[in-house]
Amino acid sequence: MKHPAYHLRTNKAVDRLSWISQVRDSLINERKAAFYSLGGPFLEDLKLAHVAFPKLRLVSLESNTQTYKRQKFHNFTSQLALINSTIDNYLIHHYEPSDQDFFWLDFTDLSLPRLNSFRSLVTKVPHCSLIRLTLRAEPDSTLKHVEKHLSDEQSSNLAAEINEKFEKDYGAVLSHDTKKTPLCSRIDFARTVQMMVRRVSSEALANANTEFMHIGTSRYDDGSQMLSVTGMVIDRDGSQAVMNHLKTKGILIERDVWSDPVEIKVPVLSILERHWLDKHLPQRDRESLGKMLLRKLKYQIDEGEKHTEDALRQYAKYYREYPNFAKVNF
Amino acid sequence: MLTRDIALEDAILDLLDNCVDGVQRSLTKKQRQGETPYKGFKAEITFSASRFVIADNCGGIPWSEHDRAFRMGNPSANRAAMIDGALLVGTYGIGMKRAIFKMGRSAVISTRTNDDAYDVTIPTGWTDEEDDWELAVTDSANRLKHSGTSITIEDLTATTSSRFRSSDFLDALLEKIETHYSVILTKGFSVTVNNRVAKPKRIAVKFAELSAKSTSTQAAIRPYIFRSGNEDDVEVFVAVGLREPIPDAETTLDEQEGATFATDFAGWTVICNDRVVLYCNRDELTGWGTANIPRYHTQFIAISGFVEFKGNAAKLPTTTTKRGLEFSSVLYQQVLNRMRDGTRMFIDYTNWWKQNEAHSKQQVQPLPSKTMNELKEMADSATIKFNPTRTGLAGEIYKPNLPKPISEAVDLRVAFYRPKRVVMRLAEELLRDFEDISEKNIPRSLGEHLFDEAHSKIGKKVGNK
Repeated sequence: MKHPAYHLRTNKAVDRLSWISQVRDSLINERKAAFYSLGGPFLEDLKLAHVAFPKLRLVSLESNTQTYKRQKFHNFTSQLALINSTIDNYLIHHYEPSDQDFFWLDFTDLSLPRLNSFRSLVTKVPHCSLIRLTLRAEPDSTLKHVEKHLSDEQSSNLAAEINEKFEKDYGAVLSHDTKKTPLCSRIDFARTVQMMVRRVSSEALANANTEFMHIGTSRYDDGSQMLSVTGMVIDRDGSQAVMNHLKTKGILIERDVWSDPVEIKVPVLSILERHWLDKHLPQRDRESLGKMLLRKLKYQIDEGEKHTEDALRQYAKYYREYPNFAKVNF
Repeated sequence: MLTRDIALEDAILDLLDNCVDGVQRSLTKKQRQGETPYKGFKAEITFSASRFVIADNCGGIPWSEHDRAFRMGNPSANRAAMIDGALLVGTYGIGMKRAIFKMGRSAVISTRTNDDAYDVTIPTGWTDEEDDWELAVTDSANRLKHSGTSITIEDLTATTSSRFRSSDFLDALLEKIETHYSVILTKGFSVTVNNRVAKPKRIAVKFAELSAKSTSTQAAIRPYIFRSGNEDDVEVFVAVGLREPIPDAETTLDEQEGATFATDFAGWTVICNDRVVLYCNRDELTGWGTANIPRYHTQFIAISGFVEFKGNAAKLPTTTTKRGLEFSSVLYQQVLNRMRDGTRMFIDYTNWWKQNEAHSKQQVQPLPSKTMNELKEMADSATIKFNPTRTGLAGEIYKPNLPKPISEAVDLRVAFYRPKRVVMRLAEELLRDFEDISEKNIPRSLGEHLFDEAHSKIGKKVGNK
């Protein structure tokens, strides 16, 4: 039950704020909707949601009794219901849909039960509900760590063993189009997990009147690589109208093609550096954005010019979501 | 003719289906909705190594229907599937002919309605004819005393004759009739096979009675219920609950070793227009081992559920044999999601209480059991608080508020193995009523005795906690 310090998790903070932005863009009626979260001990995303949507009903689901008690200590509004339950248990025994629901299944691992929770959820939420599923998507590093101590044959046996176990564990949800082993690159493994989510959602709703429309997937380093897949559950009959409506708000829903996961990799910057860079943002010309910001900064913040430009481009992309952490001395 | 597609028992059930369809045709809509619409109607089956006869008093085949009934295939399947709301299954029009040719090579079908009486004869060798496919229809020589149909099949095939000679076949057929026709038999229909009466298998789940003090929203053992409206000419009713207390560890082990047959009655029963198409199923067909439902295990022997589809036969999720479930049916897949939700509730309940079965037993054992029809009546009486669904198949859901153990009050199971001779010797020495305890219960009794004794000794030192 260890909870990493939030100020060290800038990528996670960006991902969380982008979720709030997606909720804002798709929210129809604040009073008739509900926001569900596995909020953790500090209820971080619920706090953000409450600031952004004060009338929205909030529900936190927490299975660990000690963390639940900690949440009670941090409870900040009567709008928030704290429930000591697993997501599965809650969905089966207590969940009553609102007009529109927002769920963030923010898991820290990857397992079939997690995907099954998602499978169960997509079949239960009402039309226009937004779901974000976060899973660990870190390729297996066992081999990398021990490779130098092994012979070629031993390495190849270990690799086969790891792959076999992965196939055994996830064979039921692996997409045949993107069948990648757990030993592949980070981006390939992120794609594999994304396609697993796609398969689960499509199978879960194969005969339903609703479908899960992909909105976007992000991947980021949060100690290990995490993947957040966001989509909206839409009635098949009314999907085009909803898609057109959301398009006007800048949300592009994908029906047949799920775009590649977008990497969130914001650089670590001081407040002073941020203020300096923010003066030059936003910029229309995205191509030369990295170069331009490097020119303004006058020094590199990563290894080499190219990496610095990439990092600054990332910053420019997420500078609105970049969290402010400051030390306060009393 | 697709006689190889069908088992002999199923062929006979096809003939029984025609009897039931006859009853449905002769009832008014109001009569069909009664508690025992089939009362007074019967089918008598007799067979021997040389002959099979099924005779009913179910209204007969009207002359207007004779062409459809005796033609190969059924040109107006959908029309026949829903005659004035009658719950028929004879959609495919191949049942009677297939059943006849499954069993033998010649037959006489005598039928009498209020208006007509005629015989249709299928002579030996008729199927070998390449040109003459006409069947002789004559005025009934074998005047039936009441409206109904009698089918006599002779020139039995060698396989059929051999099976009819086997004493096991009667039991197998009765078993099948008692399960597949359990709803119809409960509703008053009578079936005899070689003079043995088929008795319906009763499927029921525990239901804590409703009262001012115990409303449907308060914590109690009640089933999960879903009911749809008349979606696309088919009504759906789903209920799942506990049919008995959850098993303790010993019962689970006994069951795994095949010592009891409790598991035979666990699982899902699927009913289409009063016919049971799946009986106490515990595999993927009814959601076990799929999505968030674990594979069936003896730990779940208390869980039992039923699903009823009622309406237009052409839209029911049944296979062409009418005895099987069409798993890929969109309607069934939607209902399956509801079934999984209900099953999950009682799997959770089983998991919550599995270390505290004795307390759970106190909750469940004394409760009355309710059959599907009783539950449907209760659902109609508005005493159960249903909530409308917002997703999936439209309808209403009742989610029971199942009792949860208070975490501090949970009992823990203490289990270990010791040599049998040592256990028996100790038990003989320590247990006063050793002679009265069955061998199976000795380890438990001894364990409890030793534990309580140790606890009382320590309790004197540290206080009873």
